[in-house]
Amino acid sequence: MRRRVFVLAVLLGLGTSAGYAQETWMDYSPSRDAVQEALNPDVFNNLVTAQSALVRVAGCDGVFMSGQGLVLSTRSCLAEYLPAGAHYGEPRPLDVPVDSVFDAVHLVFAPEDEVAGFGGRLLYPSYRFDMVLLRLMKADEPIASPVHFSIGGATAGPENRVLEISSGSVSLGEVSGFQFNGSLAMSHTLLFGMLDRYHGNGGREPWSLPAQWADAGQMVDLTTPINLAATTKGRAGAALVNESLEFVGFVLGHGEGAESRSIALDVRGIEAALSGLYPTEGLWDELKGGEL
Amino acid sequence: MRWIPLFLMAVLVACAPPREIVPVTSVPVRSDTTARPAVTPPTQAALLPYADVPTGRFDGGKMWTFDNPPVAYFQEEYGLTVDSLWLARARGASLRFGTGCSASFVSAMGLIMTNHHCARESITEVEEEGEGLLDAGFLATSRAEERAVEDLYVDRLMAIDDVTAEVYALDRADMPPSARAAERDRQAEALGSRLTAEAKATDSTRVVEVVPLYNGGRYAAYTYERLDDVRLVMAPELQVGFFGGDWDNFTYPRYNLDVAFFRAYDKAGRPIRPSHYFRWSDDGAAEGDPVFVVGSGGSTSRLATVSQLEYLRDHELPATLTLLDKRARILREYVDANPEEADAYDLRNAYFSLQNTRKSLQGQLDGLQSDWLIPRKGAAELALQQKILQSDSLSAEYRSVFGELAAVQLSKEASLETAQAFAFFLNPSLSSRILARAMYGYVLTLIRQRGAPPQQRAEIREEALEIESFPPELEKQLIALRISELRDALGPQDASVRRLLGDSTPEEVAALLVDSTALKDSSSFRVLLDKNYLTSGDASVEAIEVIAPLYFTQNQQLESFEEREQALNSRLGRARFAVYGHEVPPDATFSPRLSDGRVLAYEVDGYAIPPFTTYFGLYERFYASSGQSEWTLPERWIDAPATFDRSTPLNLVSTNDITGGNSGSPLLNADLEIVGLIFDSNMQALPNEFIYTDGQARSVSVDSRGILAALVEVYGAHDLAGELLRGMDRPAEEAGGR
Repeated sequence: MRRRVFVLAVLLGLGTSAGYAQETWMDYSPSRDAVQEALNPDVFNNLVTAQSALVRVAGCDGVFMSGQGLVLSTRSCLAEYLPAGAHYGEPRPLDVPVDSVFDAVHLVFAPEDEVAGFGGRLLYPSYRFDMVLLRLMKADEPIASPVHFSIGGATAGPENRVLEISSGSVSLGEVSGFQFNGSLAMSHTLLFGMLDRYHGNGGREPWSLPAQWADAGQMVDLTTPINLAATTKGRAGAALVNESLEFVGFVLGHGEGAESRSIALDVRGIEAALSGLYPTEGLWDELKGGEL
Repeated sequence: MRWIPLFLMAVLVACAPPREIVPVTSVPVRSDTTARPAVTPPTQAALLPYADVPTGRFDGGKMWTFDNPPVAYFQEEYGLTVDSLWLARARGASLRFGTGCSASFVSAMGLIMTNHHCARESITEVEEEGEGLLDAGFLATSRAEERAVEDLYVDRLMAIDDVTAEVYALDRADMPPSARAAERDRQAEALGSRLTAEAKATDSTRVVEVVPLYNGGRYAAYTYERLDDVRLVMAPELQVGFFGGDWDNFTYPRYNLDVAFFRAYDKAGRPIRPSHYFRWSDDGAAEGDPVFVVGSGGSTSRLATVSQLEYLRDHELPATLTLLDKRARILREYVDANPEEADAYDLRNAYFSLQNTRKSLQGQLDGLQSDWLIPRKGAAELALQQKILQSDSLSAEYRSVFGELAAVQLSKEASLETAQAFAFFLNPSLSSRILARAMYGYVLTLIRQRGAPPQQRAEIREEALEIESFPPELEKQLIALRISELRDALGPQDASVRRLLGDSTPEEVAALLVDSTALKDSSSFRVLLDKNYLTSGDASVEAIEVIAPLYFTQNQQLESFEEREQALNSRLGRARFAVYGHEVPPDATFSPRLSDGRVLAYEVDGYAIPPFTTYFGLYERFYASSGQSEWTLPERWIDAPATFDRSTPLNLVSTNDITGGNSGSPLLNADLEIVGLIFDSNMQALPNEFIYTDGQARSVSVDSRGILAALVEVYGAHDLAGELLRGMDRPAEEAGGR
């Protein structure tokens, strides 16, 4: 699987057009017709191209977020390769299996374990800042990744429609709340709620927070969404995009329980953290600058 | 809607017309005999599979009476020595609030704390034209601004006396045993009135209620001091006092500032100086802390037998849920199609409270359908049966009661469909108000013909005139539903049904009735009511002349089942008390109880639920709900000052045993300081109606720290906050100021 995606990435990276013939292996949910109907034709035709923005590193799914080999993946999946604690500043080489496409992986950013795994099991309403930023290198240079996601309006489309793009699969759904626990779970969780859980549990594991998160209100707007619930498939490491294929969230997985939903890290939470809670403004600029 | 047709219900049976009685069910009720069958209770075999199911020490609950507190258990569990002073303070500072809530004194100057949802009617009542206090909130900044609430009173428990012997001594041997328990309750009530009259002779504030305990197995006289000058001091806006609305009811994590303050005054117009009040805790509670609730829960069904629970599970609750669903659908469709009219008639709220009732009943049903509840009740019942059988005297007296209770369930089951066809008939939010008015017209005409005393007529007339109109389109739906339910229950060939329907459909009959009746308008209803309604020729007369006799017959039958079941429950209560004594507390009876527990988190499906919530979460719900009305906040909350610490705890959960009526109860630490204010249970506590559990079931309180922070930071209620912290109002040197 990894190899095939990479072949595709390289081909498309060289400027090949959409490759219609290869579309037959794509899995559309709920159906190809439904996805096609929901999108304008240009966007629909671009879905195969979008596959080239997906990547696997050390067995974990990720997405290219810039032309400079910058990859967004989950901290929880890559945990065994990562140093303890947060990492930012100087890139740090990771000891991970490499590929013909990249011969080194640099860790560019990782948050603390406790924010990535906040609350323990992945159940919505969740408040997880579960991400890492990696840079894929070849011969000491970042690899070129011309097909990558970009951050535009950063919100879901009309009727909260979103697409979840994972390897070989496109899933159409909506960002929506649902009946839960006798009431409504809202479509998004906010930094406000993360602090509520932190204080409500007295800061004990797994609800402890690093200082800059516990004091987040001084640096960022606490109305910022951190996670969202969508009716898509919920494959960890997939990209959640709007109808213009703009990146709106990064799928963390499929919530368990009766009201299971795809749970994603909202891109606005990424922005708040990278530009407000860590000295990583430059990384945010790089994420924001890309385009698909 | 304050219209509660208790009075009409009371006279219904008395005025059931003998001429037109239609047999509603042919299933005979087993007649009660004093000769007990000498066989093993028929239900015992059915319970045998449960023999090894473990039961809990507190399955019967923890609503302890003040005259039998579990002193040894408190010592063993909490290392707490409960002496008479502790009990006197706990009891003396606690109050019953109005007719259905609890409260407590929280200062030496008669300041009272209860829930916002207990204060709602009072808030509306004291508002002046255009003030909209429910939306705006209220804060009296001086004594003079506190607003007296007419008809509101609080009761403080002064004494408890066991009057079991006195009540049983009044038993009437001339009545059949099946009717004696109901008669005994009436005698108990009458005894209460006599005791009240005696007590009032020396102190006019005294009220005595004789309370049945253990379903009438025991009786106790509760003497209260009734304070009836109660004034509103502070209430937050409905939006925060009922944050999350009916949606969030029974839900936790929760973010609700469900608090209001009142003050009690004496006859001379001075604030009451209570002998005891609860001090405000400086630190609030921490997880694991023992906490105590004093309050008057309304009722529980912990003593129900397996056959009674199975009847609820298999028949009554599912049928009731179906009825509610049908009415919810009608309301929903009307609200969707006519949003403006719906708001004018407050139907959106009616819909939500219907859904809330539904949520509550569904929660009970889920419990009954679980794989643990009935087996656990079964094991306990089997143990009780065996204890009864081990004693010759108990066995002779009580062994048959389980089987007889099971037989009553069969009778109820047989007539359930007909009973359900009349369900909610006089409930103003679930049924046609045209038919309700017609019923009142029918009753009033008949009792007038029979020369009922003018006062009785006047009371019924007054009740009738309180019925407000519904939109005609909604009436058509509700009447058509009622007629089709009658047709389904009685069968299309039934004479009454044929008289009602002729060759038409329920929809046609309903449409014709609504279009032509004068009862859809309140002033024309008044005119008809004061004439001879039954000869008025109104289009509703023909329908109600068919429906009313059926309704009365049905009510009579229900009443006879209830009487019989009550008699058996009472016998069972005596048996239970004979076996277990005060070890198991009695069911809730809206009398003050003491309930122990701990602040405790819990898990649902692997999801860890925090013991506390904070104001951060209130703001999350507000901002994440994208403007949905249940979660909006008043401006002053959106713009709250930066000094307002949003990490302050707002709500918390504990394992105390509570039920409806406990709303407004103080949550106290072991030193009897206020750490919270009970306002709800979580969903998982709904099956606690039948069995007390503390795995996931929790009571939900407003945290004392959250109340104080709101008063100081959001409402600028510094005097009130100071009074709570000091237990006094402003120090003497300041008191003259302002």
